[in-house]
Amino acid sequence: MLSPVIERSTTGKWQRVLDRHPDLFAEVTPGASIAIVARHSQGADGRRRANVMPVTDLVPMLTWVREPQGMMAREGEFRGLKGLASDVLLIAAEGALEAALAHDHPLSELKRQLRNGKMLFMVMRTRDELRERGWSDFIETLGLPFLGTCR
Amino acid sequence: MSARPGERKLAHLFQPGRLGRYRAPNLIKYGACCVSNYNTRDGFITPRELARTRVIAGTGCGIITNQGAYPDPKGEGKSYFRQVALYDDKFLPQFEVIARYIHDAGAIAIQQILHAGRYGGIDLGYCVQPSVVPQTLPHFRPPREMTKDDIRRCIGEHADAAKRAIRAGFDGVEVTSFMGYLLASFNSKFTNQRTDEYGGSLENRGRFMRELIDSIKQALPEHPLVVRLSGAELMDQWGGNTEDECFELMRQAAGRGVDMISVTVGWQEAPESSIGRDVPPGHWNRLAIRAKQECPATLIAYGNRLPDPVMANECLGKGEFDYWEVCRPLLADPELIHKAAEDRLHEVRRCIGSLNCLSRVFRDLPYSCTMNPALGHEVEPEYAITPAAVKKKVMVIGAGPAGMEFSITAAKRGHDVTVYERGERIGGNLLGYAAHDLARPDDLHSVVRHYEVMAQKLGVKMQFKTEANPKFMRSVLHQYDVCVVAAGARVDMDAYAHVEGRERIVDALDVAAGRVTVGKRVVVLGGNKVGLVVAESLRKRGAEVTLVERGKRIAEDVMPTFKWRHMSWVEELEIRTLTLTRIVRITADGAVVADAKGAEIAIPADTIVAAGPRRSNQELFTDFEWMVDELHGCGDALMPRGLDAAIHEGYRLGVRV
Repeated sequence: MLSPVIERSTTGKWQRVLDRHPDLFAEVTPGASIAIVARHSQGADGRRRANVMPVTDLVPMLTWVREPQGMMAREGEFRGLKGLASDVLLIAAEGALEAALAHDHPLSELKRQLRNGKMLFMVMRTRDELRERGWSDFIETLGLPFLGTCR
Repeated sequence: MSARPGERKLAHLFQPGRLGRYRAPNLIKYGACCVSNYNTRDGFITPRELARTRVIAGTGCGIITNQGAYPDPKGEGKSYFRQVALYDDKFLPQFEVIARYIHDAGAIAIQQILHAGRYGGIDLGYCVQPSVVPQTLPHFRPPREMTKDDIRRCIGEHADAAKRAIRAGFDGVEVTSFMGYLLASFNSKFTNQRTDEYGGSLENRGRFMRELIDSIKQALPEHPLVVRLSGAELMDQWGGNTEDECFELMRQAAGRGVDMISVTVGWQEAPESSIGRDVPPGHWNRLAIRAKQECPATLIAYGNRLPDPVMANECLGKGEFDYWEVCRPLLADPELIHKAAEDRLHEVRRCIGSLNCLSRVFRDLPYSCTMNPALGHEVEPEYAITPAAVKKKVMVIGAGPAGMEFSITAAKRGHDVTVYERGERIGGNLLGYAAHDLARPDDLHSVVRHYEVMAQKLGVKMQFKTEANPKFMRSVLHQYDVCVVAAGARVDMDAYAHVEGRERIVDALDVAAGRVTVGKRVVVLGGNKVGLVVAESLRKRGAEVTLVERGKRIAEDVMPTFKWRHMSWVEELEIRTLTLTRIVRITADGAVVADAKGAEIAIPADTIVAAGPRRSNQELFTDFEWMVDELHGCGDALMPRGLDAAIHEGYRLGVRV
């Protein structure tokens, strides 16, 4: 079964989550986006694999993209890291996105998942580019500058 | 020569050892755990570094590993702002001095080569990796994939750097894969997704390491080679190596004839803690034990979260590994090994695992140590403890870390020191903090114990239950030459003067000290360090806690490497947190707060705890101004900060008075 992140019902739910946090994305520049994929999916050969690995098949993807009216949840297709135009990639462990949506505060749950390894965060641009594209508040809110550094 | 008393007690630790053809006086290896950032931007070793290294050489370790040098002229391997380089002979003169320092101290000299790979390229717009796997931490540079030519060149640069180190007088070299550096990223399937002979199977992923080992061993067959390898990457849930794979890679290295494997734990990017204060000592010992079992013919060095020489001695006695590898405890107290040898372990100033050292390095600053204010200032005579030209009678107000650090430093210089403390023991607000610390209270209590031991040893007179005020000062008028106000800080209750029902607010420091008992439902005003520690502790003890913070974020005054820990506790303990929120009024039912838009929220509570803002206890400066010859201050009494500033200021004043 493919990842549920592309189901229309969840896209709508994520839109409602984004709508609850306009301040977080207020500085994000038009066109900037976050891609979200589930960690495991099945390829045409029926084998499961982690999406950190190179992919040849299309994998369903959720994007949060900055549009004139605000941050919008959209459906998309993940074609691998090289072809990804988003600024940030979130890779969710199985069940992580569903768990976040089921939570009263989905972004808080995402933050928790980043800390416990249920969600992997990958930056597709430099720190300066991310800052210029308005992601500072979001990254700070997720606590990412505090991760790492020989904990 | 007969063994010193501590050497007999810790007989395993102090027995002689070997590394290749070299003899080590004991089984202690100084690990190059932390790059100092003391050097020039273009990789030359500075006088500051040399002075620091002289102290390291004198620690008494049988093997000394000099900090990692990057081996390539482009700087792709350079990970730290002021990291030393070893890609050219022009760098050799200072390395020669360091090798000489180490040999003069009777130790084996090892030079580490550090190509940071994924974490490198600090001066470039990119880093190099086996494959393009984007960074998970924004701090680091975007990756470029290494070609086979790049790999061959890189291996050659490692071998050249190794030869250069030997020419400088070092006995051997070490290559590190610590925390995800280049070697680790070839070994790991998280970052190595190549489809050529350097990627794919474990055999292929280990090829870079084997070729690197072969290249150095062929160039320097008579000199020992140490390789630092992960016993656990802690990245396996993201496609990294399992522990079994890590140990298979160790077997590959051992099979290639490395003389020693230094076992490490975790990657920078790992979602769990590996060396912080919240990891109990001994937690990762099992990895060293397994390494010894898997590679019985290869020396195993180990020391991650093993700061205690007594525990290390026991492990060595049981044959769990061959060398205790230690670094950060020797930053905190460079005399640790000598104190152990002389059976004076109770005098050791312990590393408390605050990771101040690494916090600073990752902000491109020179490393420093919370517990050792002189670290990094060895080249400056002003930081040395020298006999005072004029012996003075000194009174100190406050027995917290600032006051005690000043007192023992001044006493070492020959001053006659008396400490006046209104409480019943040494420690000040640190005692309350330690009582509520969820990480490892013993680390913080060790600071207090150190001051207790040293005050007694140095003859610092302690006068407890004595409130310093003008009346008291008049009673001791003309008895002292110097007064040092180290009275700390308090929660500024005046900040709540406008709040209706403010009389119901209690002080977080009183709660922490056990002077006030709270109810089952608590609102903590202030999401800073004090507020967080109290909130977390109360929640852990069963109270329902809401944290209210006026600012945008909590933990703003917490050390960078520990912020995540508080954030994590707040989430794990499900502490309700309201940021951009201020207290409006307090009623019999609880607190009413207002969010950024002014909307009021009622929070049922039986106790309201104020944790901030803090205000320095500075009144005594005015009161005592005309009553004593010299009047000084240090620590939070000057400006509320934390343990690091308290200890450092106390010391700096102590070496100057």
